[in-house]
Amino acid sequence: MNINTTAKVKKGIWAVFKYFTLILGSFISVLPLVSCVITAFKTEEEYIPDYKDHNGKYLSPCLCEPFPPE
Amino acid sequence: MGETRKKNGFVKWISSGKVNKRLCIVTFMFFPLLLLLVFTYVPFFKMFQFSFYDMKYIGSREFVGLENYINVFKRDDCFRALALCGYYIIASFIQLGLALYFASVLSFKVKGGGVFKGLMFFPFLVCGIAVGFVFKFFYTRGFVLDTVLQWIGFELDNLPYWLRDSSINNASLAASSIWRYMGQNMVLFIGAIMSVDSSLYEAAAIDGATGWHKFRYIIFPSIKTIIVLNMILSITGSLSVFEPPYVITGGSFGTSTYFVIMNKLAHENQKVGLASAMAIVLLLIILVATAAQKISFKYFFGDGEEEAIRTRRKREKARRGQA
Repeated sequence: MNINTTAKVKKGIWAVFKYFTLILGSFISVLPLVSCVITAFKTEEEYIPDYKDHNGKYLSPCLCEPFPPE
Repeated sequence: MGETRKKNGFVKWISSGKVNKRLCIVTFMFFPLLLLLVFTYVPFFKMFQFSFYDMKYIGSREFVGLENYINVFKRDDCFRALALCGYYIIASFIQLGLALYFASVLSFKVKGGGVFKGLMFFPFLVCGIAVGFVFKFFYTRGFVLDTVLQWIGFELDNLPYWLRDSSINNASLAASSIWRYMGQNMVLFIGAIMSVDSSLYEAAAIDGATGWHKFRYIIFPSIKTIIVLNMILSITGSLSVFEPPYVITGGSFGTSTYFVIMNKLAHENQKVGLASAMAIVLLLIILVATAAQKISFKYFFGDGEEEAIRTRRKREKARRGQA
């Protein structure tokens, strides 16, 4: 492999890494907010069964506060 | 007649350029200084005064001298809480590292650079309490984070309770802090990197410098001041963390930071004197941390245009060795 090819491969790897990190960073930046917005549009029926599944089994008492059972 | 002459003299005096200039300065400064005095310095000195008393918000107070300060150092919870700041300090270094990386990448031509910048800066625009509620939901068992990890292949039963497990909950809270402030640091770094003369990069490219060389020898020295500023802001912020533990866990499961305990003492237990003493101790710790940081940065990397003390000493030593 000559120097030019090595440089091209390095440049390609760097470009892939760069865009991967940028996309991952942006995804992490919006994920919590987007998930919150999506949940805000859920009806109580859609939301509560999922909560009930985890209630008592997984949820800690302090975390029950924002999602009180009916 | 005399009165009219006096009046004319006053009008002449007040409309003279010199007096006008001074009057302008005094009038413009009066209200900002008054506000600063009334809402910053007077409350601070009042708090300093309260720290020497055993008192509640209402009722009589008793002078106790340095007893509150001694109690701060004697109480286990205060210093255990201060140790928790270690999580946030480590997080602040990760945050600065990530911000510097993204800023270095996004300062140059990148496809969709504006979108990436916007998305990464967005969390900083959300208020702290809302961020707390978002993450309370995000970390709840079986919700967002667990769902995403299950997509990757993790089993829900093998995942920890992000907010309940004391071995990981402080790291989870610190991660929410990284999420919120990374974008702000990134924007500050981008601003600093943009101000670097582009001819330096061209000259470096002609000399065959790689991306890392450009970062090490052009970008880093040029934005040292902003790095120091961001470090000081991040570390002082880490020492006085309040919103994430207060909103997300309410300080339970061993997540009470120094500020959460201070708030509890002042507002729930009504120990105003002790809470004031805690605030003064924290102020002193922040001052010491800031000074130590500035000195160490000056030693290793220099200050502005000034050369690093370490480099200067090394050069002098080498010169002496040659002689």
